Amino acid sequence: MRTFRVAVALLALSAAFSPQARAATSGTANISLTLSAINELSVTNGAGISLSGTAGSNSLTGASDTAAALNLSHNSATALKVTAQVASPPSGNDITLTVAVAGGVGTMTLVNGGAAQPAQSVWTGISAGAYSNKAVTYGASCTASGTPVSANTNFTFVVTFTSTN
Amino acid sequence: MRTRAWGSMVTVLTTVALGIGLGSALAAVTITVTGSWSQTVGASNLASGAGSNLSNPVASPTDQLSIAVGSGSGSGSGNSHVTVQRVDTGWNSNLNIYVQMTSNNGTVSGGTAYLLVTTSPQTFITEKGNPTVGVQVKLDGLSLQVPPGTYTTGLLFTVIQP
Repeated sequence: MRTFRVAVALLALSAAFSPQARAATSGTANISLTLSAINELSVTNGAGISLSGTAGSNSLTGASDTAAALNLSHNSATALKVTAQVASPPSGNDITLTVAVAGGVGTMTLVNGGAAQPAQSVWTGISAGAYSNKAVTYGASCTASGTPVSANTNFTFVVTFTSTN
Repeated sequence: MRTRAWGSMVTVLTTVALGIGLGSALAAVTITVTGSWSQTVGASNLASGAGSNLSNPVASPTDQLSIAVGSGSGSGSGNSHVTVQRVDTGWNSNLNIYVQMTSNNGTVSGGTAYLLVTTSPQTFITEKGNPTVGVQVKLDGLSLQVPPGTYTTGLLFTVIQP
């Protein structure tokens, strides 16, 4: 007696019994942010320097002024520098005025014997960021013969600081 | 399906239901996203002028965007969920963008806290009944170390039926 086998493959067609197929739709909202170039600089006023001398000496000197502070914020991709200049010094004196910014290039002369100097770089290689309360130190000197005064006299120097490429 | 057995021919015809009838038809849920947001940040956004960095965050008005989940047949039988992801067209990796639901007129859960949007889809809200949802957008990561320029991205909202 012969026997035979029949192999029947039964396919489980899950698709026939699957849950309802998922549908999805989408929408997009556009977002735009514009960052403007920022270069903001401020410097506070100094307290002043009193110049005096000793008998028999023509040189008049005084303690440095450390009251001023510089603040800078910039986002330039290239490093900036800060320059300082006294465009119009007061007349009738031979005062030499110097300035230094903390972390800068060192002491630079803005007025030499009463004569204005070109703008001086006082701080260079400044990368993007915020810098606050950088100490600004002013120094001054003159001669009694070059700065004659009949009484205590104030000489006011306007220093212009500029942050630039 | 036909099989051949040893010594004999056996034909087995199996009719397989191919699921031609798949039960109810696919429900065509839709989503409509309206609105966009453009923001300019400059020196006026410094926290305290020269010497300070940019303030964070900046946020759009409430309901700056609107998401309307539309209905198709079979909708409303379960909770759909809406995902959100970023599709960048010119973004900066230092910037973070968030979304928050600020209004809705239906049955909605989730979305009440700011969600950090990434380039991968995340569930934003779960809803039922085809509501319209108002969305507020927030940005942080603003700093002077991010170069000037215009940065753009798209917020892709996708509704997925249950």
